[in-house]
Amino acid sequence: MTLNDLLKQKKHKEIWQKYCGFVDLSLQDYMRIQSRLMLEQIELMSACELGQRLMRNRKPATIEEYRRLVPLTTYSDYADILLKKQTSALPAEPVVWIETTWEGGKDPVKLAPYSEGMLKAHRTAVIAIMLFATSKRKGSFSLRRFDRLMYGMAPMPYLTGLIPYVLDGEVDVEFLPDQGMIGPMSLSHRNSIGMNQAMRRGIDLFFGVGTLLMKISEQFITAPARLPFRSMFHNSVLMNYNLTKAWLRKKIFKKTVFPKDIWDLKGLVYAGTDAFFLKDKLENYWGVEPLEVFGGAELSCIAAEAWGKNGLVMFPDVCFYEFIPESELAECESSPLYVPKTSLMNELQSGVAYELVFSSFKGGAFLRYRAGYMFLCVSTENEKDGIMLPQFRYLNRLSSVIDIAGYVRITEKTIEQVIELSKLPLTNWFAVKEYNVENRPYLHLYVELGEEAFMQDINGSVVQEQLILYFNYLDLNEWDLESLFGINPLVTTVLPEGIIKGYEQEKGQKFQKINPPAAAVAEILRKASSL
Amino acid sequence: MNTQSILWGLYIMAATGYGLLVFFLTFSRRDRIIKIVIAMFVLHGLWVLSTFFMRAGFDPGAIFWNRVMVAVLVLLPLVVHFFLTSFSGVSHRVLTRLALGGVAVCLVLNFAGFVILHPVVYEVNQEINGLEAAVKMFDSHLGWGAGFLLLYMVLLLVSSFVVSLKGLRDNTLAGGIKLVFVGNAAFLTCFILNCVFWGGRYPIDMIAGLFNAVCVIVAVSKYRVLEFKFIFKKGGVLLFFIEVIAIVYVYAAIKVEALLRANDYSDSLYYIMPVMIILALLIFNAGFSKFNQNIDKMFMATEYQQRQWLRDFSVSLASKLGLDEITQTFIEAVKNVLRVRDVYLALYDEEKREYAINSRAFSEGALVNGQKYAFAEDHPILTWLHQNNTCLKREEIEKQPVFKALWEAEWELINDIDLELVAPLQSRSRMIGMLILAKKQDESAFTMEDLDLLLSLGGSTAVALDNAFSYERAKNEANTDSLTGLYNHRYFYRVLRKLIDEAEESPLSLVLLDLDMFKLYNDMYGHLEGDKALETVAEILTERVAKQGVVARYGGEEFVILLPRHDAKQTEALTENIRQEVQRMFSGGTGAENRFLSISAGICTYPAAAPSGEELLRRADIALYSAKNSGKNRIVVYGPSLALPQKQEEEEEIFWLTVPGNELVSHASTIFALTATIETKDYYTYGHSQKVAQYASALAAAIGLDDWHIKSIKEAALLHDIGKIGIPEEILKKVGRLNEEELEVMRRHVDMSVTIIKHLPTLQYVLPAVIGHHEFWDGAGYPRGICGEDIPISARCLSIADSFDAMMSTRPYRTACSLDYALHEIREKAGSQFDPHLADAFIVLAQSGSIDVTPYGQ
Repeated sequence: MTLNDLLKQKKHKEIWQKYCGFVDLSLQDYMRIQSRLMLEQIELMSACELGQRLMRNRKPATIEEYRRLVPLTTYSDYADILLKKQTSALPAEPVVWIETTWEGGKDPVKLAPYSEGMLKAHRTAVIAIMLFATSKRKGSFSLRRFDRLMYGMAPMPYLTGLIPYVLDGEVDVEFLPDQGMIGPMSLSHRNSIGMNQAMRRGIDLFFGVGTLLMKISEQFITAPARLPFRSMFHNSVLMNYNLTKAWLRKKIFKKTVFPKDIWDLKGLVYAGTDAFFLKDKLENYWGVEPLEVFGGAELSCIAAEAWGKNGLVMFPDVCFYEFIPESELAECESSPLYVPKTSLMNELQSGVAYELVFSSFKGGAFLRYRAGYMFLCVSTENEKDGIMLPQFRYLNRLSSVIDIAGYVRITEKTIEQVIELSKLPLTNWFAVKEYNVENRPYLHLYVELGEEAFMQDINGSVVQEQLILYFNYLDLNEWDLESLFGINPLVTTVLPEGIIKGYEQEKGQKFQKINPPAAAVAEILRKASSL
Repeated sequence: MNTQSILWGLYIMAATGYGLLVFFLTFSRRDRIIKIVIAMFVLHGLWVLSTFFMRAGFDPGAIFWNRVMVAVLVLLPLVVHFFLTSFSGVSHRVLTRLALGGVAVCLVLNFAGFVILHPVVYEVNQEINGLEAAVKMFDSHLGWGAGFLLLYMVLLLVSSFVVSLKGLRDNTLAGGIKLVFVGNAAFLTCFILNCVFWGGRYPIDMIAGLFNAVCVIVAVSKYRVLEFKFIFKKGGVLLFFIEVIAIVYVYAAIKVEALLRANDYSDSLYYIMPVMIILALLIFNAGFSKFNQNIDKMFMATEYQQRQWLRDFSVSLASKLGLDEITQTFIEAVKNVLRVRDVYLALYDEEKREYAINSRAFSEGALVNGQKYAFAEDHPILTWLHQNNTCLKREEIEKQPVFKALWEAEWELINDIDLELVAPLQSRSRMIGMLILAKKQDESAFTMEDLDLLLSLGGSTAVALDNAFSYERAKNEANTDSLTGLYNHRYFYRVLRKLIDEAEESPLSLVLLDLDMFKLYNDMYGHLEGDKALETVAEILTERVAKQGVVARYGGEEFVILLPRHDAKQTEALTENIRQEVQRMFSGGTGAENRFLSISAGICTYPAAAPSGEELLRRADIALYSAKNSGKNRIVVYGPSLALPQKQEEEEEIFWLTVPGNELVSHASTIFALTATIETKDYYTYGHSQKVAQYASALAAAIGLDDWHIKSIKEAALLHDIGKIGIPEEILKKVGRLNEEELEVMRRHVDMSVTIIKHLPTLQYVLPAVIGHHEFWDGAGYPRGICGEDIPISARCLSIADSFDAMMSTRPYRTACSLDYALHEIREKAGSQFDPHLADAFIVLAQSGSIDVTPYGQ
């Protein structure tokens, strides 16, 4: 029975249990599902070329044996088969191929196959997200047939584009903009068409990337007050009333008009790096508490917040989850050949950050795959909402690129360019993404100043001003995060000259310039403070 | 007819209606719900009557009947509460306690007069159709208690409704709950409206009461369709029957009375009337029993048919003991009674630890996609059934999150068999199987009654199935060899007789098959390995013969195959395949790892080469003997040239054991040649072998082994280090301790010894001792790490003798130990390295001076 049928029959209790009931699972039952589906995947993998290669021509009989036998993998382990779309080597026939960029890879893109079973699981996950987003308490949701869904996400072949695909035939949802008319147009163009349609028809649900949602919201707030007289003939009375009220509020009373003044949104769904700190502002703009979700091309949509909107819960039937604790990651950093130990969902500790390692279910291609996603285990259970499963917050992605709020992507090359343009006498540096007390991200640049800096009377604040100036210059003013989100995007710390070099000599290895290991940074700072 | 008359008429109709309802319900199986419904209708009837009595001015007066009426109203929400909670299966203790408390308070308030104040009934004259008529009116004032009562009724009704609906597991009942709530809410609302605003002028509460009764009936009939239809039809017919009898009786009585009176027999009336009554009762009784016999057929064709099936099923179940019969009967019964499209039965297989749907469990003999299917023990459906021990519907599987653990293939099967319902089969608190039902033929949903029926059918069948399992198990055990799982000797004879009877002119071949030198294999590798070898051979035989014939373990290491419709040539080809497979399985590996096991077989075919079953077996035995005698590892087909008169009966084991004994003298030269070779390479080893032979044979004699064993141990001792021929001299003669690498090379001498001796078939009997002389009693030795009595006795003797001489001899890296020290060491290591019994015997032997403990050459 489809969601449409269930909604038609008003079987709301059944709908909740079918799609969102997993949050009521005990951790033991959750692990039972994980382990059983992993055994199915082992079965499928053992019958295909890719699986035989990864499992070294053996078929593990237990999960423990699987974790012992199969090494941790990265995309390079799959590239030869997946990039050629060699379906005969896969555990299941792919129905669609999802694409994403391969940062630092030998190819510009990564491809991930999605089997029929994976799409089914993805469909269930998307519906669960829609239900959670439109619910304020357990079991009570306001999602209905023919709801209007403003869809501010990238289309196929990206993962976000799968949502209209999987919902087709499952539930009658009116997408804004209409999926039939969007064609090959830019995301911003699509969004602008969508917002125009929303002015006429209204919005019930909004799916978008966090930072993009912010951008749309800000544009809406700053747009001049104008009444769309022509389209008002086609609008509902309520919509015209809201539009007129908003117009009067802005034009006559000179007050700010927020999206919530026009639309009575049922749910707002957002995803993306550092999106969580946008939560309050988005809620203020749209009048509804946003719901965070997490997904990736290789792993599909794996987590969503529940009705309480206070931590991601991972779906039990999408992937098999393992977690590398921070301590193990530190061990890896000090010894590159070290094989980190992983923990399972029932072995996590709250307050500890973990790197996610996942194995696809239902004929997906990836086994013990590391994509570098870092999660903070916020709590191992949520007594308030009665959820006895661990809850997470997505932190960032371990990579050679520092991504601030999905707006600014800083590489080693960008920083070198900025330093060169600023002509500051910096002799050495390294950059780390850090979070302030309000959990907002910023770029922390640790620099060493040459002798001439003292002669020119250059201190830390001068360095900071200069660097921001040239960052803005390079990034077309998008660096102005402070005004957008209240983020101070750059913090600089001046280190004693030669300390980085000294460290390199002592360790006999080069110091990583972007996101160096936390332990190494701590050691340098300790040394700096002792000088 | 005036308003008063209409009102009276309504009262009588309502009271009769409730009375009839209660009457009908008494026919039903009175479970908790029906009892509550009866109570509800009794209250309704009481309320109607008390209202009527109050208005009609019956004694003891309006106040009394008014109090009764209000008491009924107080009790009604309580009964509705019990009904809703029972109907939905929700238990809410707190609410029930509050409800009981509320009722008590309300009743006290009512009878204390705080609810209705001064109720009076008075008459007024009304003009109806131009005529004046007296109409009875009711007047009263509401006390403060009425507010409390009202609040209690509304709260209890609403909270019971919400609690029942929320906790509902089976959503098909939601409609029923809503219906009962609406009916009762309408009734209470109409009552309040009538009381407060219209002073009981209009009978809307009466109409609402009847509406409520209809709602309750509809709700309950949804819950138990079959029975309700049955009750009402049966009750209706019974009522009709009574009425006919009553009318006939009254008519007859009037006529008889008139007749008697007309003829002036009025006095006889007192005698005749009782006779007539008795006559009427007799007619009623006869008619009623006839009616009872036929009413099911007349009015409940389908249900009657179902009951018939159930009855037939119960009868046939009691008379069946075979698993196949019971499953077939059960499946047919379920299919017919519930009118489902298909039924599958998955029974627990203890060996494989799974619930398997197999061909015999299919209602139409079909398999799922042409193959067997099994539910592993960790299958989510099974886990759920184990935990809940009740039926599981398809919608629950689709809905409940625990079923996310289902594999795609498992979902496919669920779809393929159109699974709609699964029911556990429990016997002695153990789930012995599960019943899988496809959709109903009319696509309707399974009702609660269906589920109850299925569980009760399943319960009785499960016990029968469990008994059948035990019976089959016992039967199998009696016919099966416990080690190999093949049929046993006894079963073989039964089958042989049967096949001979059935064979007529078609050929029936018998293969008698024996493992060559199995005793030696057992000695060398231990009994555990021997058992494993038997199992492996049994597996090969089962696999190769498959459905072509019957394989049995004839005894020991002998197997027998019966192949109907196989001539000698076909049988020989098949047996050759088996021989090669065994050879392939037991070859490969080197030294100690090499398993040298082969089979010999004798074939005879009925009727071409043997006239009867007994002869068939005897002649196959002769052929086998011939194969054994002509070099083993071969197949011989019986022919006239093989016929031997009264062939010797000795066991093959004795045959090969006696051969070495007879030929010991001829072996001496071989042994001498081999030991001479070692002497030239390493004099110490030569001398050491001589001394070990002396010690070991003395020990063997001391513990009472027979001559042949003593001699074979002596020969084994002479040859036990023969493998050292292949060890480099620098290691053999190294001055100083050997390092780990050299020790590893040195340890290989056992393998080399085995390899050398294996090429001398006549000396193979020494192998068990040679291969095992470095094994430890506790399993810590090499090359196989076997322990205890799995180490052949010859090897255990050799082990002590070997160690003792090594300690007593001077080596380049140490001087010889004293006798005391050597014996102390043997005592210390008894139970760890050495057989404790043999160690003790050897110590006694050495201390008593029975053996010469001087090292060789001194």
